[in-house]
Amino acid sequence: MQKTLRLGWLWLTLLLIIAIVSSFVFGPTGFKITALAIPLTIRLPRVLLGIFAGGVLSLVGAVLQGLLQNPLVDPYTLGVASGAAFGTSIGLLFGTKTTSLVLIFSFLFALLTIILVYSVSRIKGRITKTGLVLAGVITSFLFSSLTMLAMVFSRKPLTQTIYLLMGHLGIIFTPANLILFIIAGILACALSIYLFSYWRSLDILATNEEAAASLGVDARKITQEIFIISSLLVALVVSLCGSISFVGLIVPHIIRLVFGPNHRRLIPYSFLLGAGLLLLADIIARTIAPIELPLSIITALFGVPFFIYLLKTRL
Amino acid sequence: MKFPTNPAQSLKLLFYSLLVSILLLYLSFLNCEPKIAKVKKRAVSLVPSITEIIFALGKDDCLVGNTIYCDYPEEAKKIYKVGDFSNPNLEKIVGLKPDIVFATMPEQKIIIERLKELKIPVFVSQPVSIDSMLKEIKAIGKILGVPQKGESLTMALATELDQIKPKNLAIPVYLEIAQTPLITVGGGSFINDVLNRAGGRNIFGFLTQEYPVIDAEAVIKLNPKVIFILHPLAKKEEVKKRIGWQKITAVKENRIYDDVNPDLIFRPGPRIVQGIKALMARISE
Repeated sequence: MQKTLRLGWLWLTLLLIIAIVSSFVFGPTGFKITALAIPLTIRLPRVLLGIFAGGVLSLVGAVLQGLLQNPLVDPYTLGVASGAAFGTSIGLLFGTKTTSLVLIFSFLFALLTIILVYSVSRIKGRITKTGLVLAGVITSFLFSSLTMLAMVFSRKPLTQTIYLLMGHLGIIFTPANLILFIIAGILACALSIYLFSYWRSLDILATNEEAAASLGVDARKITQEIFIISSLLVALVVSLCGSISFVGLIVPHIIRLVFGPNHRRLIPYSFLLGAGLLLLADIIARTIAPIELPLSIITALFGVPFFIYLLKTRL
Repeated sequence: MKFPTNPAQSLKLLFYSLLVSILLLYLSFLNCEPKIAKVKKRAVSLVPSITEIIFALGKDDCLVGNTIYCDYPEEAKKIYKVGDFSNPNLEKIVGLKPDIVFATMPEQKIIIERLKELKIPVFVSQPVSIDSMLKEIKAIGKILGVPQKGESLTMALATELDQIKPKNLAIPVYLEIAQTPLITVGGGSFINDVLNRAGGRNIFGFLTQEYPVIDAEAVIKLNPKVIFILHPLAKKEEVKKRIGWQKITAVKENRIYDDVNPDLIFRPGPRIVQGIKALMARISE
């Protein structure tokens, strides 16, 4: 037991590597060592997108659950995803002609949502945990209904919008999209590392908020900063691949059940496991049927039984 | 007006009023009788292609309601709208007191069931091929009381379709109807038949779904010779730049077309001949 704990990062990296390799090998058109063009040109960007999305969502989930001291929090609780989804649907349904523009549109709406949630949750100049969660939830409702409204007024087949909302890694990469993705990836790396640097404060906050102040941890300032950084991270992910659900909620719980609640381990381990699991889910989504399935269906169908098993045996 | 006082005057008034009323009665019968004999059917069309068929049959005077998607011919836009294609409003339809409602499956399954419960006759259109579309046109002609017109329109379309002889056959073609995610057309669908008649072969004809979501690498692997982009979100130049797509023959030979009006191909109606010709012209270029 003690050994697995210490070598946790090793196991998780191994899982991630297995996931990456199998993402290259499995695909609807098979794999031949002599014909590497398809794996390299089509699957490589998709693998990177998977690592980026799964890793960032899980990491943000872990940090937000720690910060808000609420096991039900996931990266979408703070409302960013719904704003990004609204931006995407507006971009897709009314006019914009190129995919890169749609992505930028989605990101702009996500930023707008962050500002909205931030200003709603500021009550008498203070930002509280409850205020943030409530502001996030009502903003989510607002933008979800606006997205529905946009869909009702548009003339798009329903399938398309389902994939858009349920998350999907099959974005078509053009050079312009690839540049956007690379920028998003670099930004996400920097922001993730910055978020990780809060691990000690998060540990202290988790044990005792009263004591935290005396240890020099300013809860209000940290709440504000973490809210903004994690919202930016979620905005980057959602504008590229939709709201992939469940990963950001369940991966931090799995890590906590297996390796304990220490944020120094929790945050990076969540990144590794989230990236690995999302890649595995994407392999299933791509290959199980002749058509592609929405990713969130797979993450939930396979994630729930696994989580129940862990809950029953480890708790 | 002064009220008549002497009996002679009142008799005169009575006589005149009798005369007028007899005349009115006669006129009303004269007016009414032909109306009863030729009462118009009240039709509601929930399907854009059927709206086009009704106009082609010249029975647009029967059409009392259609959807906001019914945009061809121009006059169809002016007809009372009962909602959109996937969510027509039941109350509006019932309020029009239709003798017949034209609907399609599977998108309008729920509304069809409700209409049947309310004992409103429904014609369910679900053409899987050009031939079944022609049969439907004949049936619609009969329903609207113009069987000869239905017959002649079908004949005219069939002759035009017979004259379409593509130069080459079974050219592998990829039809893209949405980009995020990639959606194409499966086998056994109406559009599949349209493509075959235009001299193409759907590279995703082996899939059974009508509109399957697919992976980009499958398109590259199946290597189409011609690509049709049937949605406004990508232009030819963008498709050429997609990473990994340069291996596709269609991209190499610059045979990507984004200028075909999707309505000509998706709507199983009289304009399908134009649609097939538009596809054929590009496939056999």
